[in-house]
Amino acid sequence: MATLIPNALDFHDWLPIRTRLDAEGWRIDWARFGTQPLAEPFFRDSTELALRRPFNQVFRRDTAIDALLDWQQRSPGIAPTAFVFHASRCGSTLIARMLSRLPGYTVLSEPSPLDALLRAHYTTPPIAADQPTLIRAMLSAYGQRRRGTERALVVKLDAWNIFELPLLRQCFPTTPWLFLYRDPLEIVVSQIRQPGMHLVPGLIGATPLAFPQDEVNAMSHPEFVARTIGRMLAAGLEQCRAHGGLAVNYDELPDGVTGRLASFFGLAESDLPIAQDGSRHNAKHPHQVFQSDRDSKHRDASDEIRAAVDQWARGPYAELEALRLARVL
Amino acid sequence: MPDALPLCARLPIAIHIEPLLAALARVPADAWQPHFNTGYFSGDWSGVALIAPANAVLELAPGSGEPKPTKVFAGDPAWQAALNQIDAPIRSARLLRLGPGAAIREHADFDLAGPDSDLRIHLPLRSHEAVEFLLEGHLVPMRPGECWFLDLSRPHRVDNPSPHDRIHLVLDCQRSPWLLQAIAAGAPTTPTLGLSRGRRAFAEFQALIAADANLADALLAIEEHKQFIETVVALGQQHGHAFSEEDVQSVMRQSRQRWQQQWMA
Repeated sequence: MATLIPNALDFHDWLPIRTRLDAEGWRIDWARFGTQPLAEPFFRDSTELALRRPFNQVFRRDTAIDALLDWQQRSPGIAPTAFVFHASRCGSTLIARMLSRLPGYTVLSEPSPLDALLRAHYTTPPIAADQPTLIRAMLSAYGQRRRGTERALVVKLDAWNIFELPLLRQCFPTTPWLFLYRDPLEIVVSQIRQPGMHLVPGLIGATPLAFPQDEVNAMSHPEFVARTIGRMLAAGLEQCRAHGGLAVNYDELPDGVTGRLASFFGLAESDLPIAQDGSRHNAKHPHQVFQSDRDSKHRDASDEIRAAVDQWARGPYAELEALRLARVL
Repeated sequence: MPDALPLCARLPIAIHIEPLLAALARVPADAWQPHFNTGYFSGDWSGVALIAPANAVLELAPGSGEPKPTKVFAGDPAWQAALNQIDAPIRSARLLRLGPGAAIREHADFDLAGPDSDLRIHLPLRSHEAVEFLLEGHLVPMRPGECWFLDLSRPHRVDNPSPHDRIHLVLDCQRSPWLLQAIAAGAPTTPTLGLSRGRRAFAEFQALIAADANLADALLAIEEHKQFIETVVALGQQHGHAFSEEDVQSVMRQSRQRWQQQWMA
């Protein structure tokens, strides 16, 4: 079937929806998004919406990964204007929601095709030589002007991608990036209430975030969660120091987006009220009004959780705070 | 744990077709009975039981009783000679005939599902190259003189647009080490499964849409499934690519399945 399709396909309003390795090599699944904005909390929600269209159930494309390179040559997209890394449950979705309301902004929220490419070398080492080229080409595909008004491409990564920051940095050395974090007790309580994918051992595949299974088996659950969050905070700290990232605390949100971070995100004066409007609702459940649950998170924390957080995550958090305050004050 | 069975496999055994065709010619015309499952086909779909379970309600229907040879089977040693090549307990043996222009709609035989189910073996006796046996949308290129295992617990349909009868000898066998080994041994030399005429025409239509932005834009705008499928079939006809609504539906179903399978690691 693929042989019938001519080489020079137009991918103008198509986006990569999956990166996968099969018997034929690395491949990309594409869906046609048309002018559909990426307005949902996560890229996978926007993808499911696009796949509901009958057109995509019949005509969506499956190409060799090299199609990315060819398409980039023929139609280079906007380069990423900002990267958002985070320690999970820190308000990164809120930032994405505030920016995605702006007609000039494309906001990619945890796109799994990019995550798969960023971590491909852990399981398939030979791809390492091509990874930078492919990553640049994939973001060029995401940076196409589908609606004609786009001028910024903000990419919010998966929490565990903080370990792949040097690779992404190599691809886009001048794109500013920030690392968002919060009091680790609040992250840990949230992850114990409702675990994210990276808090289920083995679920997300190979990542430097994971502990060996025999070590996990020897940990209590609060210890496992606290050490995982601590490891992410430590990585964020290390990368901020080594690669000049901006440390941002959840406590600065949402006002910081239109305040201290306005120039980081390239916001114009006229963008500010629109972005602020996007902060009124719960980012992941937009029909609910946002309410801080900080107090309940602190109340929920048992002595065991507090002790584990203090032992495994408090240190890097304090250092991130020192780094941030040195810059803010 | 035993290896999963393939979708289908051509067994590495040669069937002497001439004695079977001669025996087929001696089957009395009035021995052919309409297939019991009348909801699933159009045209002539009939059969002759050679070995049937003792307690089957109808000779052609499945049953769990002791297999009993019928008069037709006992009257011609050629049938027993062919079955001697299969080293597995045979629970039923039927001649199944799909007449000119007849078709069996897509269905799955759930009695053939499960780790201990019987395995169905097809020995094509008479066929024609226009006959299409589609298993999960793939064309199974069975030819007279061959012996095939098919996993018919998966969706399949048959279409005989030719002016000739298609007649297969169809066996339901209990699993035996010999049979499982023959299926495994046959898998590497089983011919590649093809695309049906409808699916080939549809692939050409997909290439047309990939190259024609105006047509693609018009189809992208249709949100409603039924209207979309009807429009696609009509556009295909208009551009000389003949495929059915069933072909489009099966493409859509497989596309959704492929997407969902990634979450079921």
